[in-house]
Amino acid sequence: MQTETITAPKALAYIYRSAPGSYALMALMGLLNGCASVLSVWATEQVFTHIQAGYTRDLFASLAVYAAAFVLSGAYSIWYIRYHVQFFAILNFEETTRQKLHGKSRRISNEVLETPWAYAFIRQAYSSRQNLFRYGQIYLEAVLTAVQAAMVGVYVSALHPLFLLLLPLSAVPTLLELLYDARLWKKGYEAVSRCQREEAEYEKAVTDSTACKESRLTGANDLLIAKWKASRSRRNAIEDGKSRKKLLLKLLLSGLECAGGIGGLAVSAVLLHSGAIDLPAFTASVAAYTSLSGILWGLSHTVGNAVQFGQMVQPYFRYWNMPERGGTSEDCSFNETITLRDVSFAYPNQEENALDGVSVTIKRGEVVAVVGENGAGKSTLVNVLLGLFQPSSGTVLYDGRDISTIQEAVLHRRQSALSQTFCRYQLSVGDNIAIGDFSKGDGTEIDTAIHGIFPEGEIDRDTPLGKEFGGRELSGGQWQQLSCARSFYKDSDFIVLDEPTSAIDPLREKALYDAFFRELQGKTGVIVTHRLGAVSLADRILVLRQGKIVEDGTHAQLLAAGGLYASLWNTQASAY
Amino acid sequence: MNLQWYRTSYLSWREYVPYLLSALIIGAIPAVSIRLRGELIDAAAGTATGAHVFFALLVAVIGLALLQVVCGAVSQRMAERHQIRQSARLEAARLEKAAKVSYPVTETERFHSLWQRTEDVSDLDSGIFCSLGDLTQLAVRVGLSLAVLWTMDAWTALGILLLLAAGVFLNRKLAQQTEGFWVRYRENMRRTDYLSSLLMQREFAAERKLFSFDDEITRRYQSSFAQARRENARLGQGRFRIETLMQFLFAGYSVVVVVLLLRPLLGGKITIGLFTSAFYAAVGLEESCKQIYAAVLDLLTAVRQLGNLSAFWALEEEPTAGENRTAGEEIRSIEFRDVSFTYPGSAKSVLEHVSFRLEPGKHYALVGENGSGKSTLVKLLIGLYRPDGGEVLVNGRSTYLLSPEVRRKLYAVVFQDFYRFPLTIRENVSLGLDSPAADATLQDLFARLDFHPKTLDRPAGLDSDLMPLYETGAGLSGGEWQKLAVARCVLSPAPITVLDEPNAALDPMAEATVYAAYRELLKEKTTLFISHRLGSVRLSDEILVLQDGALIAMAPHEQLLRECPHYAALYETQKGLYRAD
Repeated sequence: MQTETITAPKALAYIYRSAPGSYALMALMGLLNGCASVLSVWATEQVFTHIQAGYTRDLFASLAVYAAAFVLSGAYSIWYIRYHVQFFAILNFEETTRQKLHGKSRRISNEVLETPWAYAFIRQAYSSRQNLFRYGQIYLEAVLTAVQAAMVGVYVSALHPLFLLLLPLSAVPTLLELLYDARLWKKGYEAVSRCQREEAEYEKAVTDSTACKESRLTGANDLLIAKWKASRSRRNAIEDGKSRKKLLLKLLLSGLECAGGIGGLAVSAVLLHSGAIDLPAFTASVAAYTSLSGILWGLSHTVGNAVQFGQMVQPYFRYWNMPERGGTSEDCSFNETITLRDVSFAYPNQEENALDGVSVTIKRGEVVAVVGENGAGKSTLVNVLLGLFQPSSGTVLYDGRDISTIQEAVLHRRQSALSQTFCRYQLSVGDNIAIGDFSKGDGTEIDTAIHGIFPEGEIDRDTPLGKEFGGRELSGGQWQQLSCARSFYKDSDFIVLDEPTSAIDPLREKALYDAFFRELQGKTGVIVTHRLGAVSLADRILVLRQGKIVEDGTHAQLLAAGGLYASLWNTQASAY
Repeated sequence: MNLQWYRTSYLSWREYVPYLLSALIIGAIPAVSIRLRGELIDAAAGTATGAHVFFALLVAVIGLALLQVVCGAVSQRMAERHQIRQSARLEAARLEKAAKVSYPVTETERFHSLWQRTEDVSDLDSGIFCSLGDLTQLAVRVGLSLAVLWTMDAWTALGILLLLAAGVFLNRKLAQQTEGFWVRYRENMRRTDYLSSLLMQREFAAERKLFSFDDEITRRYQSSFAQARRENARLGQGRFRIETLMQFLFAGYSVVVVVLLLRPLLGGKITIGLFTSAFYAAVGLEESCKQIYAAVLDLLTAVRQLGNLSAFWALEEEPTAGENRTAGEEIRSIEFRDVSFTYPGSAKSVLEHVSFRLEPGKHYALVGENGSGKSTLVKLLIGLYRPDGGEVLVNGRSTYLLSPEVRRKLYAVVFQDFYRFPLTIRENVSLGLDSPAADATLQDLFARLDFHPKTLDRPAGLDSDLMPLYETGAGLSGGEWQKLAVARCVLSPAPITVLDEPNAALDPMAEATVYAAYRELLKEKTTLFISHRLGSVRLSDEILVLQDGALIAMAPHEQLLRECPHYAALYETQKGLYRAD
């Protein structure tokens, strides 16, 4: 998908706009912190000026200032970062960013999500949001620390101009290390994360509950573990190389780093020795130097982090590049016909068309069965009919009106479907049905449906489902029936059932199909199925092959025609 | 808490000793510097001492600082190296353990949750390693510094010690207050996260749009979020109070340090230089004391969590030294003798007193409704389960005691929910063999199965990786994977073949091709075929009919139609779908 990166100013503008209050507070607290540093240095000088005189009022006054400066220095790190950010700001930010992501997801058209990597893409965007707030902080922090450093720098240079010259020294080694680190990180990133993903796949293959059965009957585990180890040692070689290079750089820079740590003391001592400054000024300069090297160390860390975080926020912004779908909100439920006119559909990044020049009209009240081999385009066809997928070419018309100009929310108002990939909501049993149409709120209908699926009565509307939240686990067939109940719970004119019995015991299929055809009375319905035995009840059968409709007619007509349908039918029927 | 597995295999003193030694040096340097620095300041401030003494002291102080930096770099490297090596070792051990766990255990929730809980085993290990180093360093630093201060003035040292102790105490309070904070936070957010995923993730996209559940779910999401936020704010307040208190304590600490040190200074016991140096040292200790507590806490947490992991290492394993059957041994009989089976924690038995005998070289089918016990019967047959009552025997030997190696030589199985192994095509198909199959064998087999995925056209051909990573994600379709699983099964030399609903993902035409291939390729073997489509089992030599865990009949098709009403009913219902009328 789109790989263009968003520039830092744009990203920052977006982030600051999302939480202006928080960042304003951050600036205020940061400035207070700077003041505290200067105040602390000044107080140190005062303490040492008065110290020789013993326990005097002046000494205690300056000690009080010193203590006050210390308390104030907690403004940023404790009250802002550790309290405000962690307990309030992050959460507020989370909530708004997630809402924005939800909103975006709502506007993306479904066919866009069909790329093989869309899954990873959305996950990445979702987890990348966690880095946004910190990314915004990094830049503001850089500015604030620079201001703080300037304040202390001005103060200390008033003691002796030589100090100002020495100051940047303390930041250089840390900054160099971090930039080098970032470079190593970036360089190895692709290879390392590839290895990590591979290892995750191997681990899954060893521990997945489906895989465990098979791997205990084959030599799969030995092979998987060997591959895991190979990948791991590739990754370790990279990591170890990085670590060794870092050590080398650190040793090379140790002189500089040492100057950063002890340089202030050494220079101050030399100046004191030469008589250029007195003892109080000496202590002030050492205090200032210590505080400054701390500040600069933080600054270089911040700058070093900026590179990494700059990368990490990208997926969030890339998500915004996914194409959206608009349309008007005028009403559009169809009254007479759904027409596909020369519709083709290709999945993103695939050359072949999944649907190839399909033209067909479905009339109100018809129940149409769609059959064909795997990969013939059956599910694609129903997604296009429902308007969930926008065709690559051609038009879909409801009562002659092109639906591509209609908002999805309006378009789906009177539609319902049971998809092949139906959802298993980790909500209550009742919610699993009600989610089909929350505005309906018909408790009796829900209870009846639940009773139909779980006749033994041990499950009711409020039973929570899904292991994840300690709810009940259902069998695949029960989940499918629940989804089916959901599709029928929503009032609709047009309903699609895509392989509605795939998870249900084939020995019970017939009863279910009979029920479907009863429910479909008065509605327009499309049923996709492999089970040809069930389709003979449909008003009309469409046979798909390689994205084209090759046969169209009633069961009797198609059998008589002796085409693909007839041969599929005979293959299945001959078994009996 | 059983840490035997960890102690014996993964604690390496060769890594610990140099690391702790370097921590010792790093911790000792600040304490050693106190007097040296004091004398340096005195030499700088006084006029009495000569320039050479001053510069000698300066060089010594700088030298110590340099030593500290170098030791710091080296010990960081040691920590990284330990982390890299040890994590690979521990995680490999974890994976190997998972591979050895006996099959029934892998079906339990416990196995999966333990597997997830052991995810951070290497983090815990390096946490222990690093916090032991930190602790050594900090303890040496605080202890030695206090000792040096003691030599100046005992009361000062004692005062500082008391204040530090108060700091540690408050830190403990703080830690208690915030302990498990993130765990609780995440727990609070789990529901919110799930609702958020309904509104965002791909798997919910179609229903989200069709049913427009956004509004209601957004409302729930917001209220769930608000709840997490309230809880968070409450936690935050406790933390705020203690942190503020600590900030004031430490502010007071600096003042008290000056006052305490002033006494020996004014009394002439220490020089102004030593006073200054001691002041710096004392101020530094306050930070160390915060870190000490954090390090102790990290260490305790890590050790405790490591203990939790012992449960994973204690999981029951598959028999390794099972019976060493030779590969070529002929199958004489396969027998269920009065077998019953109940899943652990379930009251209802799945199989009850099932007895039958399969003859070598014959073809059997197993039919029954969902939940009648078919899959359980298969797992007992291939030795994945141990029967609660009765015995499952192959050539008179219990299948449950077979080692994985022997099992592999004996059975080839296609499960209905076959796994898509992230291996190459060749490796996937050759899983049941001793060595990867040759090109010609595979090409011939693929032709028979009408298996021609596009993946084979890639340059790597048969060695194309089927790893589902997105950049190479062409992959196989569901039907193609199923054919791959079938190919693996028919290629295996194992004498017993079990096909558990092997055609579920195939369309009718492909199904016909695969059936033909079975009949041809599995002619010589003993097969057990499980299918819902009764039309496809008709031709078996004998059909076993399961109903509610009991074997109600075992006979050829025609005989069953006459003698087994349950079978006849099932057959007629299905056939009814195909009655042209």
